[in-house]
Amino acid sequence: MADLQLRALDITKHFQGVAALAEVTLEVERGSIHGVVGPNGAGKTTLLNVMSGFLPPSRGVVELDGRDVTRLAPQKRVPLGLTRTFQNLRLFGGLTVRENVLLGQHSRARTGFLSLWPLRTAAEKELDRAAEHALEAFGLTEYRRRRAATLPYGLQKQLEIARAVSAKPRLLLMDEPAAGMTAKERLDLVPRIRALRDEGLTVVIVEHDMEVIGAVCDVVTVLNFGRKLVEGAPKVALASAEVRTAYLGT
Amino acid sequence: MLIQQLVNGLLLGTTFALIALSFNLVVGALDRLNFALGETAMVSAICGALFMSQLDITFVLAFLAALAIGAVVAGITFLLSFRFVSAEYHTAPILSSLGVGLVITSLVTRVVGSDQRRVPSVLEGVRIEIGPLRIVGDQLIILSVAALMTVLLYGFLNRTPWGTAIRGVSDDPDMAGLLGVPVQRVILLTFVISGTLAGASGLLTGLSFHTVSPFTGFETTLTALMVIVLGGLGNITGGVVAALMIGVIETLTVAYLSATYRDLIVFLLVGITLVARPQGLFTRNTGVVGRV
Repeated sequence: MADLQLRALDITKHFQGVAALAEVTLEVERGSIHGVVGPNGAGKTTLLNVMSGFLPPSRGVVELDGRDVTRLAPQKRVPLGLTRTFQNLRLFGGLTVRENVLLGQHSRARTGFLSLWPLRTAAEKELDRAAEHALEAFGLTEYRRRRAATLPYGLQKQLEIARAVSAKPRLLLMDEPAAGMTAKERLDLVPRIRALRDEGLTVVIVEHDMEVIGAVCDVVTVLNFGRKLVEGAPKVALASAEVRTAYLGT
Repeated sequence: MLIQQLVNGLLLGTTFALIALSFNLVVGALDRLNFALGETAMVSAICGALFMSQLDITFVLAFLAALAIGAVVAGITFLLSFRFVSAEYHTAPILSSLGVGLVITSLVTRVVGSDQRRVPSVLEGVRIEIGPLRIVGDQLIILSVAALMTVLLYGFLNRTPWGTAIRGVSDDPDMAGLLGVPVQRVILLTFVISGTLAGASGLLTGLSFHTVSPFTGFETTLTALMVIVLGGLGNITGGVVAALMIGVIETLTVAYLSATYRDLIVFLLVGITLVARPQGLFTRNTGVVGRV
């Protein structure tokens, strides 16, 4: 039996009577990269918002590691190992790149009120190293002292992922991570997401870029008009006739 | 002697800077003003003055006690006026903290009376003379302590995990919460630090005039508001520069025009700033009206 880390069961979400999601079920295996794709308005981000707790479902259940978290606030899902990134960036613009990453691991820091950077405990030094590692992994080391708001958009996207990862989640939900990136940045993103999976992280990725989806995902779920159309390996799912019809209308 | 008046003005400005920092920290954390901070400064100053004159303890101990009292009063104000007040009601914390300020004044006058209290000189007889310029011992204390506290605050905000958390919560509290930052604890810490600064400002201002009164709370709040409007709401560096400017302007007005024009000139300056640059002289973001 599959080792499921996240289950969204029969999720329905209405906005003023209109169904954005209708009885969608998503089962995410531990250690996998699960893509969610679909045309605009298919309900991808709504599903991500429901799974991360930003929207309560009208019907249905969200389970994290077998625990019902449907009514749990997003902040309360963080200690359970779930974190997410946003389609519209939410960085701390006034803080430096490094400080953004350090804040990402604040919950793990267990820092006392008098804890100062120069007088660090061994555990805090380890966190510093982890932050530097995250910066290096996302190509941000040379920008570490720059204010986050002054970075180009593509690097801000990388920083948001680095910050989310530095919280050491077990499950990361990514909302269109490649949007706004250059071709080169998109190319760099693929091995980085794979490396996260190889380190044991489970990833759910909502994305428009089919090249990225095809290159990183183990499983893809295709949504259309709030309903699940197809699910399976990327090559099979994305090539299916239903998906071509949904995207191309032919 | 213009140079002497300029130095006196800068010294006055350093005490304004502490209370402005105190206000700006809270504005940064919550986008709200704590109108009880003036009274927080007053109660710290009164207690510090009483400890020095009645219990005969040293300035250092009285100063530390004033910081602690400021921290506790600001923490209580947070719990009474902000923590459990819905964010939807923008005016509720304003009215509530104004009320806490009135209660503090009433409590102080009831417990220790409404008389002015003397703040004894700390370094009597010490003076530095450089040409026509003369700086006495108390002024040295005020300058060095205010400068030290400002540097410590900057160091804390920029070099410690909790300081980074305060700046993160000021930027986007919801996102900070999503990263596991204990937002309410961080805001409480911000209030406590802001109370410490208010306490320091209260006792140092008392030391500057050698007297404190239980009725100076709202006046202190008003001065701080002038400073932070001029410097830019929530702009910590802008607040410090504006405080020094107002200190110099007030001192020069008293020295070369008349003491009666002191507040008038500052109010005029702030009025012009509100019309011409509502975001303050040193800030680029939204103005006062849209924020608090």
